[in-house]
Amino acid sequence: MKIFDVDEFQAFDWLAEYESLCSQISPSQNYKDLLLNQYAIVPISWLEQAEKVEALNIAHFGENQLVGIRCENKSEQMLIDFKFRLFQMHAAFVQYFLNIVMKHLEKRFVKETSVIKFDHIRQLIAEIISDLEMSKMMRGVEQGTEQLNVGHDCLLDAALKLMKLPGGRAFLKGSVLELVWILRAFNNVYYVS
Amino acid sequence: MYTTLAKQHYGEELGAAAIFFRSIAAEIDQDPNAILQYLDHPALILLRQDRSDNTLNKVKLYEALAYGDTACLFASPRPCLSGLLLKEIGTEAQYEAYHQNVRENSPRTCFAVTEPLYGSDVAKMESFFTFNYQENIWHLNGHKYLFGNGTCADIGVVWARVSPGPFGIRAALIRFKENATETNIERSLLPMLGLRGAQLSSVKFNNFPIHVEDMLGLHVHSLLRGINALVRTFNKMRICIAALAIGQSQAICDYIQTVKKSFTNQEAALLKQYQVKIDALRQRIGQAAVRLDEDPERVAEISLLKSLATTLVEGLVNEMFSFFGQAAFFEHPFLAKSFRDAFAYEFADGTIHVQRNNIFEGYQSESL
Repeated sequence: MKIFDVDEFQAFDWLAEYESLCSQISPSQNYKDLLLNQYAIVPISWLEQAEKVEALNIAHFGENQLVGIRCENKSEQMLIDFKFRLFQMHAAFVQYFLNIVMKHLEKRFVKETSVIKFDHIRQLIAEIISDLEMSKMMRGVEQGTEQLNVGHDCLLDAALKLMKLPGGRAFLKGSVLELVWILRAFNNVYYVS
Repeated sequence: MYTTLAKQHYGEELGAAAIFFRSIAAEIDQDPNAILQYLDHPALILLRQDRSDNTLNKVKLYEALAYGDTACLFASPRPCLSGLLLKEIGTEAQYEAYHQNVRENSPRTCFAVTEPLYGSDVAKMESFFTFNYQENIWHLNGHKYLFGNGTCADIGVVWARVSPGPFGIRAALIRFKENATETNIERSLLPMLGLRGAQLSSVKFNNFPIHVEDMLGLHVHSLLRGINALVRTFNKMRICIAALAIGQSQAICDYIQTVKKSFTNQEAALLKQYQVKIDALRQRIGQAAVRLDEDPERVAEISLLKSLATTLVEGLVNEMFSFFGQAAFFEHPFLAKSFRDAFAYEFADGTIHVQRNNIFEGYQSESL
């Protein structure tokens, strides 16, 4: 049983996904553009906007008129779905990096001993695997905002530990530091309790 | 109140057992032998009758009882690891007789592996079984250390070697009550702070007699009755230790939830995070327990769950005092005792370093 089956993983084109979400809110190109320009924060603004419109619709229900586009209560679930898929993508990233780092460490030697055979390295890798597994468990329980927040925190913990393993390479562009940076940024926007 | 929550979490029977254990926890902490006053209580009868092969049932039982008090569980007469081992390598007659004895006579039991010089490194075990051909009896010599109930056990399993090398490790049923004399055994209680009910002991055997019919595993292949049987037995108990840690974590969360009157946003979020992790781990432990019955050698997954559960409870006991201010340690004896007890899970059935080695190897071999 693999932690995250990378073969099953399909890249999540979050921008396209996001555009699709925007289209469901408003067919107006101006509004979509506005939302897309604020891409990182928009789903939350969008949710607030949707709730406001919904509240106004309810307030005016007796007058038989709609103030804005009708938004149904599924808006909250749509946002959770979006965050869940983003979370899965990040999990696959961390798993992918872990496997690369492990292969790298197998080929590094200190006095004829492969670095991956050192006990403290194995312990640290086991900690990363444990964090990944903990985040995976959050998919198993009821899928709600809090589960996703905790799960993403575990991913971030795993990435922070992973950064200690490949040495100076972690600081190169496209390496683990960038992974941590991306995870941290998204964690701050989407996965804060 | 925790009594309502206990029954909500674990149902009527297990919930009532948890409530009873919580009610006597302080008394058992002072004197573990006080448990003998309560042998007729349904909770203790339930434990003595526990001979389920179903690991899922066992983890549910252990989680519920740890919600009450783990030390009471360890102090109670029950089949313990010896019962699990007898299922693995005992004959049917040995297994039935052992469980009948536990059920009817309520003996305290023990399971002795660890030694002072090499810990639980079985390969370096020094205790020795020697066979006396004239008397047709085995004798045990050696020193066992840091195992529960050694000073008070009436019966139990002790591991030692019959020959050098990895295949020379064997287990035998030891009948302390019948065979102990002033010269063949020296038992002492080790001073403890946490989980006092476990009564960790040091026991020296000096030509301690073991009847031939009490040697275990004679009818199974030599590869299966030694280290292999020990690993399988530990595996089944290891997942129960994870369940114990979850039970205690749940108890602490419920205590904070019910006793504290109001929460800041930060406190509420922290408590919620712990609850989410407890729920997730409980679910995964249940799934792993089912898989373990199908494949008893799933070492990596069980190690993973035990390390996550112990890390969780240790994190929680380190943060729980912050919910109640500076005097919390003195004003909330339940929390103070929980703090002492919670670190025991780390040492039962292998420390986190051992578990992490298993996790690493499981990941490399793709068994995890």
